[in-house]
Amino acid sequence: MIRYGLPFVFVLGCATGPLPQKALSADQIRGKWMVVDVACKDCQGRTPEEKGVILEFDSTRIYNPLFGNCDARPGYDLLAPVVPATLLRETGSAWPASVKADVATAPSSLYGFVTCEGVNYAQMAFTSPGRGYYFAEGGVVFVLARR
Amino acid sequence: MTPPIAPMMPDGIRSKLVEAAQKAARDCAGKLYKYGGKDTAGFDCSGFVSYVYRQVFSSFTYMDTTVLESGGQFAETTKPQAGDLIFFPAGTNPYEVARKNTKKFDDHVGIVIDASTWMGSQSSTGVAVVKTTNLWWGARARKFLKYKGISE
Repeated sequence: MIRYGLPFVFVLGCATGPLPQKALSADQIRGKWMVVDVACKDCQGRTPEEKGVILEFDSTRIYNPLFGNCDARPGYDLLAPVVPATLLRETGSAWPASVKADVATAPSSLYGFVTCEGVNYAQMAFTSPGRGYYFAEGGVVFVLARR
Repeated sequence: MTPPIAPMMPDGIRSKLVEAAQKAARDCAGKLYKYGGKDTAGFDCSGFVSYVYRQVFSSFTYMDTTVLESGGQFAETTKPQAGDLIFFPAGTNPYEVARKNTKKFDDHVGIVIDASTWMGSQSSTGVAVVKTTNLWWGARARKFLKYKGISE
């Protein structure tokens, strides 16, 4: 019996492959994030003066010294896991190359809109618990690191 | 010097414009900016403004930013109120120029909500509220337009 059991177990192990990485949830983005870089597709040479700025996403407010706070009812339920191929095809084709490269290598990204009082506030993507992207005006993307 | 938005308590037509803008924004939460978009499936900036105005003025037809600015149905005002348009002419943005980015941005239009906020469909957010404390938008040159169909 054992003679036949081991190969059977071996085949099963190969067939299932490695366990998939658990998708990020909206709960994981709450807290402080720091701008660590600025990416843009067609503004090479732009100085990343926003580096070091802290954004804070809370249950009751969002602190954003660049673009204005959300002082009531921030919402995170319009963020959802999206696989790379879908995200890059449907939304991210015009993103900076560095952002696309990170999205492409993540099993999935948490992507969508953070809202304020039921209205869009910021378009964001998170490729890991420690890496996020804030899509600002003019094709500028703020690269965020968990603080 | 850019005129400040006076504190206001909108009533009548102006409050209807604000309510229509807020409802449209809620109706398209989660939607991206959509070039050429004119409904809650996704707006561009002039599509949003035209949509909101049509909710209050049933005969209002779509106008792009060029027509909104210079087509004759709106007149510049130095005393903006809720429901008026905030218009950003095409050009560079001093916020970006200070960061060595001389990219020219398209003209843009939104709707004044109150003394500290306006609402529009922006390429980064879709329809969203913009506060006067927003460093990027706050740096751009702007003017205000009042609809001639509002009699005051």
